This record gives sequence, C-alpha cells and structure tokens, in this order.
Amino acid sequence: MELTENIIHGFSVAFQWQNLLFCFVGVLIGTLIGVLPGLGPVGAMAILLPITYGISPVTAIVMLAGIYYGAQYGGSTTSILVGIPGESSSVVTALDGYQMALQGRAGPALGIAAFSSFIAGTIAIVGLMLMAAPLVKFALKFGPAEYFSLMLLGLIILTYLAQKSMVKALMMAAIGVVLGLAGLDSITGMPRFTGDMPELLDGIGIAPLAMGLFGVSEILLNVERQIKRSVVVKRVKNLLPNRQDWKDSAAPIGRGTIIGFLVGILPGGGTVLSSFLSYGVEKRFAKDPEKFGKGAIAGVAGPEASNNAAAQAGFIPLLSLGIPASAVMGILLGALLIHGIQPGPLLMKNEPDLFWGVIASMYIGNIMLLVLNLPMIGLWVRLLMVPYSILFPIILFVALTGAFVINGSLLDLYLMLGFGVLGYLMRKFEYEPAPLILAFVLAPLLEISLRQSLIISGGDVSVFFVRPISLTLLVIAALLLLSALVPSLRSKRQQIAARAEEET
Amino acid sequence: MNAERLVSLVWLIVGGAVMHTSYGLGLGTGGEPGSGFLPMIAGGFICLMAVVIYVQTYTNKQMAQSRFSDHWRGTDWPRAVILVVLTLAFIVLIEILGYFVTSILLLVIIMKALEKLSWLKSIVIPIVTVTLTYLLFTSMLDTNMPRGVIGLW
Amino acid sequence: MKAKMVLTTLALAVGMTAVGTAAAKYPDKTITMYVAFSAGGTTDLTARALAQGMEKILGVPVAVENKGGGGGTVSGALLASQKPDGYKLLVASTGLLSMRPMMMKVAFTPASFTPLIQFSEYVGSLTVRKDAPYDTIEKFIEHAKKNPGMTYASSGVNTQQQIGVETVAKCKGLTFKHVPQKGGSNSNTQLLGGHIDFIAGSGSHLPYVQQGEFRELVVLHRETRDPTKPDIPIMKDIGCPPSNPALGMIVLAPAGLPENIAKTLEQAMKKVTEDPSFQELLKRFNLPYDFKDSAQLKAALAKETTWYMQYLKENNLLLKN
Repeated sequence: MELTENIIHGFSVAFQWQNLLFCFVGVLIGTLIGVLPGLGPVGAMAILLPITYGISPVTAIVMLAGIYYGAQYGGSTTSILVGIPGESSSVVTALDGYQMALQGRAGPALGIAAFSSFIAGTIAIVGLMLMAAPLVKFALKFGPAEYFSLMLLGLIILTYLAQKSMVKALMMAAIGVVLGLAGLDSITGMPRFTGDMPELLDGIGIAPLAMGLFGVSEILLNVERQIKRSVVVKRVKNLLPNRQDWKDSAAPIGRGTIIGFLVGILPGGGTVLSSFLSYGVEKRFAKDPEKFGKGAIAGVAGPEASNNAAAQAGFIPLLSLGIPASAVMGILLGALLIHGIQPGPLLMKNEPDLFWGVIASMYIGNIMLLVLNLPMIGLWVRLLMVPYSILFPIILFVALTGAFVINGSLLDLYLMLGFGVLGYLMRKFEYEPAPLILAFVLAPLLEISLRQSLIISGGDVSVFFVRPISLTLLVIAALLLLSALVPSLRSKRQQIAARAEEET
Repeated sequence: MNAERLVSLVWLIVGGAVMHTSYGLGLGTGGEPGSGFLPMIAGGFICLMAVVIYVQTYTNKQMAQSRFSDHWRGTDWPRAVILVVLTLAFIVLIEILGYFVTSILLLVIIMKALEKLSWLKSIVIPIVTVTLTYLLFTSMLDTNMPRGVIGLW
Repeated sequence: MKAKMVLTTLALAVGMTAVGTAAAKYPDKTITMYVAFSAGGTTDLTARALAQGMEKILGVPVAVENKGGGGGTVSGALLASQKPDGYKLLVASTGLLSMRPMMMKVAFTPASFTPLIQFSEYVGSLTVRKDAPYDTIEKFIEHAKKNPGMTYASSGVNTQQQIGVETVAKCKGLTFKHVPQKGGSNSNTQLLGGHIDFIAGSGSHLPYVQQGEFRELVVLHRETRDPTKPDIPIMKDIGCPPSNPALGMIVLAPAGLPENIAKTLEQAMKKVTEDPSFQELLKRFNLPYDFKDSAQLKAALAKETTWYMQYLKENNLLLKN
C-alpha cells in the first residue's frame, strides 16, 4: 500500500545518522529555548538558520522542526516550576501547574506535561500522515467569516476561565481586547492606541505581557511576604504521576489532542489559542470545576496535549500547500526556499524524502524529548529547593534577558515591568490575568475577520449565518454560553426560593 | 475609602478614555466597522463592568467591607517597591553601563541589600549566573547584548 | 634648542599618528547591519547572505541585527541616530524614504540617510486562480466591468502591490473591493480557498504560479516585460500608464558618510551581489536582481518619491501636520 511504502521510506531517511543527530540537536535546543522565558522558537530558528546552509534540506528542516515542537515541551517547565510562562503556549499551564508545584506536586505536574505532550504529539503526527490532504482542504474552507465565528467561540470559552467574579473576568477580557488591538490597524493602515511609539506599531508583544502579568507579579507578591517562603517541598516523594493522576488526565489528553490538532491546522490558529480552548473545555466538563486554578491536573494535561498537537498540526498547511500557518512556519518556508525547494501543493510529490522524512523524524523527535524531559524532572524539582532569596533574583534576571532578546527593544522590558506591577495590583484585588491574555490573543483575528467578512459581503451581516461552518460554530458558541448562564440562573432561583421560604 | 470602589472608579476612567479614543478613530457603520468600532464596544463594556462593581460594593457584603489596608496588611510591601525601583534602574542603565555590568549590579544589590545574603553568595552567584547567561546568549545564540557607553564586553 | 627639536618631532609624530588613524584602513572592527524586517523572511535571509559575503571581502565580522517593526520605521529611526562612521548599516526598502515619512509621523527624514546600493526589488502582479473563468487580462477586465466590486486580497493597505492594482482600476475605470491581509501568505491562503476573486501578488505567490495553482494576468511596476515571463503583459501592453514604481531592496547608512567609506562599501557589496551564489539565492527566493549604485539609487529615489507624493496627495493620505 502506498502509505506504508511512504512511511517506511520516511523512516529510512529519518534514521540516517545526520538526520538523527540534527534532530537531537534541534529538540535539545528547542527544550532549552522553551525553558528560557522570553526567547521563543521563532527567534532561535532564525538565528540558527545559517547553520543549516551547508546541510541537506531534509536535515535542516528536521532540526528546525525539532526546535519548534521541542519548545512546546520546555515551555511547561518554567510555567510549572515558577509560574512564569516559558512560552506563550504555556501560559495556561502556569495556572494549575504552578499551583501543583506549590503543593509539592511539581514532579507529577512535569511528568504529566511531558507525557501529555508526547501522546498528543504522536497522535497528531499520525493524523498528519493519514489525513493531511483532506484536512487541509477543510482548513481552506475557513474564510474570514468562519474565523470570526471561531474567535467568538473562543471568547465564550473565556467565560469558563473565570474563577471568582465573572464581572471582573469580563472586565479583564475587555481590557485584553483593547491591548490586543493596539498597534497598526491592518485595514486602515493607521495606528491605534500606540501613543506615537513606532515600536508599538506591531502591537504589544505577548511575551512581555504574559511574563509580566504572571511572572513578575508573582515575584512581587512573594517578595513582600514576610514568611520565608520555603519554596515548595521539603521532601518530594513522587516524581511521577500516580494512578489517580493518570485517571484524571486520560480524557483531558484525548480532548486536548483533538482540539489542538483541529485548531493547529487553521492558519492563524496556533498553540496559544488551542491551549486556552483546552483549558476552558476541561473546566467546563470537569466534575469539580472549582478545583481548577488550585492545582487540577486536568488543567495541565489538557493544555499541554493540545499545544503539542497544535504544533505538529501546524506543519500540515506548510507541507501540503506551502502555507505558513504562523511566524514559525514562515521561517521554515524561508529555510525551504534557501535550500532550493519551492513550497506548494507539489511539495509532497516532488520531495518525498523531505515530506516523509520530516514526518518520520517527528516521531523520533518526540521520543527523544520524552527521554530528555523525564529524567530532568528530578533535577528541576531539586532546583526548587534552592532558597527563594537566591532563586527569584536569578529568575528575574533571566526573564529580563529573555524578554530583551526577542526584539532587542528596551520597550519590551518596560512593558514587562509595567504589566508586572499591574498584575500585582490586579491579583490583590482578585482580577484574574488569564481572561485578559485570552482576549488579547483572540481580539486581533476576531476584529480583522469581522471587517474582512463585511467588506467581502458588502456590509451584509447575514454572511455569518448563511455559511455552514460559520453557522455551526456560532450555534456551538450560543449553546456554550447558555449552558454557562442557565445553571447560575437556576441556582439564583433556588437562592431566591430558599430565602423566600426562610422569611415565611 | 472602600478599596473596590476606588478601583472601579479607576476602571471607569480607563473605559472612558478608551471610548474617547475609539470615537476619534472612527466608528464606521454596522456594515462597515471602522478602526474604533470594536475598541468602542470594549471600552463601553469596561465602563459597564466598572459600574456593576461599584454597585456591588453596596450590595455585596464582602465587597462593602474592602479596605486598602486589608490587602497590604502583614506584608512587607516596601520590599516589592524596592524591587520595582531596582528593576527600573536596571532597564535605564543597561544601555549606559552595558548588559554585563548592569546585570551583576542588579543581582548583587538584590541579594545583599534586599535579601541580606552573605557577601560571598551575593557576589559569586551573580557573577556566575550572569557570565553563563551572557555566554549562552552571545556565543551560542549569537545575539547582541548592549555594550554600554563604556563599551565593556 | 634641543627642547624645540624634541617638541617639533613630538608634534610631528602626534600629527602623523592622527592623520594615520584617520586614513587607517576602514573597516577595522565589526560592522553592524540592521535589517528592517523580522527574522526568517526572504528579505532578512537575503540580507544575511549579503552580510556573509561582505565579511569575506572586507575582512571584518558583519553582524546582522533584526530591528523589525512599524514597517521599517523602527529601524529607520535607529539608523538615523547612529554615527556615519561606516559601522552601522541598514537593509530596508526604498519605501522607507519615499513613502513612510509622508504618511506617518516618524523620527527621521529621507535626508537622514546615505543611500548606498540597491540589490533587488519587490515584484507585483495581478494574480488569479488557474481555474478562474478569465485567463487573460482582457477577459478579466471585461468581467470586472460587468461585475463591479470584485474582491482582492493584498499584503496590506498602501503596499506597493495594492497601489499597483488600484492603478489598474483607475486606468480601466473599474471598482474593486480591497480585503487587506496581514502579509502576503495570507493572501495566497484566501485565494486558494476561493474566498476572494484575485490577489495583488507580492512575491510569495510565485511558487503557486509555478506549481499551477495561480495564474498571473498582468505584471505591475515594470517598464519592460519580465524576462522570466515574457508572455505576461505589463501596463503598457494593456494601454495603461505605468503603475507605481517597484520599491527596491537597499542598503543605507546614516547621512554624512565619508566618500571613501561609501565607495569601499559600494564596491564590496557590488562584488557580493554579483557572485553566482548570491544570484542563485535571489532566484530561489523569486527575487529579481536589480543593482543600482549610489548615484543611480539616488536618482531612482527621487523619481519614486515624486510618484508617491503625488499618489498620496491624490488619495488624501498625506500626513496632516
């Protein structure tokens, strides 16, 4: 059968010693980049691109790809250990993962993150192999109207992120929308909310925002606590997830994989959105949603699965149609061009070595990453036992460095500090940062899709309801919204009824 | 002064500013939204939520009792302020003294003055950490760190 | 007497050292080459190839630093504030001088720079799907006349290619609906999905043309037919005045660069771009080779600026003071 032939051919390419070597180098660097807050796979891949000039295109792509999905593994490490997202796709992991670490369960958290990433990544690769062609056709059906409805669905999920006050969470979302829209308006070409600063024309960076809001604020809150923070654990007993953990994580991993895979295929979807969606879905379908935000392992397993699935799925548009679904894919596109390969629909046919070799190497890469990350858990947990007084200055310094190297811009540092102070104040008054970040990520695509759809339809709003995919997404969004409100309505009625009874 | 109430007023001002700027950007029409369309909605939402929170400070028992001192009781908040100031100084000085020197200064000051660690720890750890990080970013990752006016390193 | 001799010798020695240092070989330390675009894009990769080549010829390291953002205005402001000592250069697009300062508030003026060379230029063409009912530009124009409001995607509003499409519209009395995207590859995706009718292809569309998904109907910005696609008409062929001039990929230095340093850089860069490996790279990126030395570049910039000033004025896009 042709598929098996291709797979075998792919593995024969992937097992060539230089591909194995560069795959390892790639995933190793990727993990390191992921752990370091700030610098992301995009920056690292661009810097390392010249190294690939002298080697074959397959080897080059194998290494660069390894950096990308490797970073998804590494990003969860800092999120869990110190609450600073190492990657924007690990922001959600910082919510429950860090709480688990504070409860002495950093080991299981890291373990489940690694395993979820591995399982989801592997399944996604299978999906890539089997369904690339029909899936990408489906992805192409997503026009501006569909993207708008999808983003709206994402915003509704946001309501599930709220832990305490829904009102405050919605307020944070609105702030996130404004921050997300800051920059150059793509439709008019005019700047918005940039205060005449050219550095802001491309918008506020998610890294300074997330690192400040989550990480720096956490440091500030800890620094003022007079009780000497014995970070975490006296004795870490289990370094790995126990059976209960696995039971709690199985379904989230499954759901996360599907969500990540589907969202990752869509150009503009990506790992950040999918991780947030997974978290929201897990909280929605959890038996005890109040546990979320306090160390629910499902809140780590789901998002970590989905961000890896999304990372793998992101290769589909690139390899089958030459469409870069994100900035990372844009660099891979450049790498292909440098090596004389023209991306596009004929890539699969013209370059089977590349296509199947890269896919096969992703399996190998994921195994390497699991083998790399699991033993490191013991090391990371031991790191946590370093006294906080020594730890936090180093963390702060690394975060500042990481934020700086993204753009070489001091503004990013000021932003990170500013958002850190804002986050510190917000958390004191119980305003949650997670809805802000989700809205921040969704707003630009939501808005541009809305306006593009209306330009195409000539101002006709029915376009969102007439197109089948868009309509389906809107219906799901409406159902989710209702199901969020109805229980609270019912409990309200019960409250009123109970009080009425009391008074009689 | 009720803390939550004051905060809600701050948000009200923020929302108002957003709405004002959005209006200046042009709202367009429902069929052809302009640059300020969505921000205006967001700004309006902020104001609305701010009003709701304000009202809640009268109806909700917990919020009616919120005081600023509650949130900072028992905390050593001057340390947080100092940390912010030190970080700010770091950002300002990084291009004058160079990354290497400024980073070491920041870490030494935090460890010695703020955290009261021993001189040995306060000097050795920063030097080791900064050197390693510097090497990592400049040699391995080939990035450029500010050299400062003095042009060190 | 002796003291006078010592002093004179000393003075002469100091003087000679001073002159010697001034005439000391340029370059003698690392040159920083800023790139106005983000890492990984074709312009960035081309700039890095240029830097590598220059290293070999000039004998000093040439370090590339990405300072993307604001359509190049961030890097422009940065370069304008540097010393014209030949150790700070910038790879950018000519639009940075001929368009941006007139459209938005920026921290520099066209006079803040010394243009050194141009090595390539940006391409543009009106492109449709292969299976579209109009396979020539004439059929397309006919269709557009009967169906006003055809939609097209571009890599951004007021980009070179988008303006190009609008000049076609103006010439033939057509109305199009512009659906701006963030970047060229999004336009390709929209066209592949059939969500819009055609695109203002900006270079990233070329692999799709080569692989049979897209078809170019008219090449924009050129005054002569593209030698790699001789049967695709240009504006002249369809009876239209030339569309906007193509923006060039150029290297800049801060204003006031000494002549001798400028000459050294120009000659070195010319050698690099003429090298077959650089040419091969350009071909792989689907970028045309178009070399202009500083004199030619200055002339081209003047022409470009005049054209865009006129366009911006007519379309009410000039920055209001």
